[in-house]
Amino acid sequence: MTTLTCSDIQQDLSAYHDGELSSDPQVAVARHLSECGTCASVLEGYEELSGLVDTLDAPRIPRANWEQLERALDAGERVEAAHRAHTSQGAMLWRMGLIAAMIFVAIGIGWVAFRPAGYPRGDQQLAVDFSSYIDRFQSDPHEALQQLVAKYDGQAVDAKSAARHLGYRPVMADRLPDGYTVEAMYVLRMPCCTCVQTVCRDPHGNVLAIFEHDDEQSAWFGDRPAVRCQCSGKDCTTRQLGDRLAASWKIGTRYVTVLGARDMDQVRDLVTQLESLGG
Amino acid sequence: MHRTTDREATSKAMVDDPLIDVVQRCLLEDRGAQRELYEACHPAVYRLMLRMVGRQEADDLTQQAFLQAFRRLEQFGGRSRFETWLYRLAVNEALQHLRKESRSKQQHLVEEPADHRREGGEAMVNKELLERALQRLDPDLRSVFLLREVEKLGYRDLADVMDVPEGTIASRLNRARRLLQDHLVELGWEP
Repeated sequence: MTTLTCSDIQQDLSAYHDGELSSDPQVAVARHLSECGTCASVLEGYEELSGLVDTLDAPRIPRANWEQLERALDAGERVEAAHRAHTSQGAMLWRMGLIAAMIFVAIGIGWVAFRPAGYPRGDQQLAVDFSSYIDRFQSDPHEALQQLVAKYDGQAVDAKSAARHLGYRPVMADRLPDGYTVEAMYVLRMPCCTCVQTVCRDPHGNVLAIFEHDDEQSAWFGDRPAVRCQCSGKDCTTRQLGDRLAASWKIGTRYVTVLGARDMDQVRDLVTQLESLGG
Repeated sequence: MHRTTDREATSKAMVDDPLIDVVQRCLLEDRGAQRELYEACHPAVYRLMLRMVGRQEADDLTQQAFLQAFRRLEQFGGRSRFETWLYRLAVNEALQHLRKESRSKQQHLVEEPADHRREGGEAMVNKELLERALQRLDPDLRSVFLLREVEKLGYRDLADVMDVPEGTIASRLNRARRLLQDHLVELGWEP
């Protein structure tokens, strides 16, 4: 066993003082301190310093000047808006040319999107397709579902037939969270995976789409900003979709992605309830 | 020597953040949510700025830190608590300001006689000595000391704020504490 020197111990004294050492090193330091006046004196100095800090007066905090900050935020936004509003003739012609180019690109994307199944599709195309689905979902969830069904050879299933297609029983098949009703269940053969989508209604009458799939599918959401957080003890990735949320987390070996949650409370509720159902 | 505790080792990836709901709404440019977030975090940021840059500049630099936060909010990925990410922006603002100040003017330290007890008693004198000793610390060391001792951040959060490994945090705190004690003694403190 290596003997720890005072130099070794003093390197860890701050961590010891701050309670940041794991148990074995903590015991080793404590043992050394009981036998070494020099190191004990250094620690005593740290404790005295902390005691001094505790006597510092809490400074007077001025009122948080939200109005000033808001003006500064608006100033940034107004500068951008003025830039966008500027319309010289040259700028207008340039924009018309850009719009024409975008139309050609959109036609090209549309051809790629509706070409026969069997052609390989990359993540970018998947993000485009899913983005279109998300946009439609916010105004008409059922039409959005039909859009996905048409693109990805969707097949209407029930719990039993879903298990035959997927090789597993979907978590939404066994029992629903309290107050939720299933309106449709489809197996979708997407480029990334074969997954199941359950469209259901929550106790408030809002429609949610709940996907269950093998891997985390961040490609679905393209460049939409994601926030990672803990929800009911689970690592969760959330994204804002208009005035609703999308959230993904892992249940067992698979992932669940919910679209259309009202707020984080509903996400937490679903995480808790689906965890107890699926396992 | 292994420094992280068992508690920290189990929660490396994601964190529980009481402000996450408000942050989500801020991403939608919800002004009400932005105000809520600003008012919740303003005291902590101001407190840090006050001891980093002084009363004259603390207000402006606090506002600047929040402006940066709202303009760059999409870059906050949620891998740390929001407040930790905000402290990082605030510390960077303070350090940049102090670097600019040190390039533009010479700073004169006023040395007072060692024996300067006066009305207010020993406790008052010790507080003032500590405030002055803090100003003598290198800004990098001062920020890590204040965030640990005043704001009570753990080493993992400190490492996120300062963008260094946790081991570096421990050694910076060792240095900060020793130097502070030296400065205090030079200023007349009697341990």
